[in-house]
Amino acid sequence: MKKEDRRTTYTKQIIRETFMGLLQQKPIGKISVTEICAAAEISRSTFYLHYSDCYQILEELQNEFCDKLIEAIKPHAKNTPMDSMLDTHDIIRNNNDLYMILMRTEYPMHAFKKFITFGKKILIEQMFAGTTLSSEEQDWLADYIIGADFAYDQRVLAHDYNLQREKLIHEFIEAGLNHFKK
Amino acid sequence: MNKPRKEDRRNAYTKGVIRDAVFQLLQTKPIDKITVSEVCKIAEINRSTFYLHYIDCHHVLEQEQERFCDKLIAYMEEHKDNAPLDIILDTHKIIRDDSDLYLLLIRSDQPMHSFKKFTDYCKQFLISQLTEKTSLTAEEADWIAHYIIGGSFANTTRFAHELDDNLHREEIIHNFVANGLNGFLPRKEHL
Repeated sequence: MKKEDRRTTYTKQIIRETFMGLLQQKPIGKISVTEICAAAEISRSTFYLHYSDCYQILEELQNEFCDKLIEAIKPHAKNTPMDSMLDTHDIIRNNNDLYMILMRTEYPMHAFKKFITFGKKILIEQMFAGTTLSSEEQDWLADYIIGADFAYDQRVLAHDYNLQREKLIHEFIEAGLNHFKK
Repeated sequence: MNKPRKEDRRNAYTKGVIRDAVFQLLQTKPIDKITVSEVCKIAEINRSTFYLHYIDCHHVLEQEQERFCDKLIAYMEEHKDNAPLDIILDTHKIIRDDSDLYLLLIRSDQPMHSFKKFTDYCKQFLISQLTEKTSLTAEEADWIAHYIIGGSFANTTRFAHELDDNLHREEIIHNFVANGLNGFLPRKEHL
């Protein structure tokens, strides 16, 4: 594995930006490497030094985005579930373009699979702790909450930041879960 | 746009074969990748015949989504006063009978939008209940309703895949939602 020098980083950055620009206009199946090279002003051989095809770029973008989101919800000393939720929303807001692109891919739940799997684990560990729910029941409820969060996240982007609203949703979840507390 | 035409039997038949062709293709690829030519070939009709009935393949899908919504809404209209859990279980029965269709119609990138008409209906229903019974403002009720329906769609889609009639799962989710909402109610009137 070669060490990434500044020039390499720069080239990859250009390729990624060009690719994202094209993804905003058409589905990935219709994007050709030739097109990317022409727009990025690089040669095909340069492209293939870094990526084997367009899908590899998409995968890289998905992975990086998921990693960022995972970092935000990793349990550390002071973050409450509420903080985690707000942090993920900040990340989504700051990467709005990429988020919208990923949501528009064929299987968005798949694009965020890495994050969803991790999020489910954290949800079960953090929020379901102290409840009487069996692991099967936790699984059902986690799917419900994640589905609802997804719907919420998609909508929240079109609206201004509003702490009151985030708190409201959070209260709803807390009150719902309290019912199952021992 | 075309003037609304009276549907005769021949018309209904043609629309039927177009629909079947689109569904057949949907089993193997997403709607964006289906071309009108392909549909015509399978349905054994002319392109011009296709365009007599539909603008494009999306239009076929949209009309079917709407029909599915109408079925669910008609049911809800009739049974509005039932307990929420009963309504959910009954809509699941409708979906169970048509689970293949449901899974074809639901677009994974926009689950709520796929059944927009039904989503909007449920949302309005929920919002009116919430503003009436809780201290939530209309805007707050709107967000909570959106959240609840998003979760319900995830659950329903899981159900349509697995087709396990599991009363217990529905009860757990229902308890979660009901108690979540209770937080917004005056104490005496808990759901």
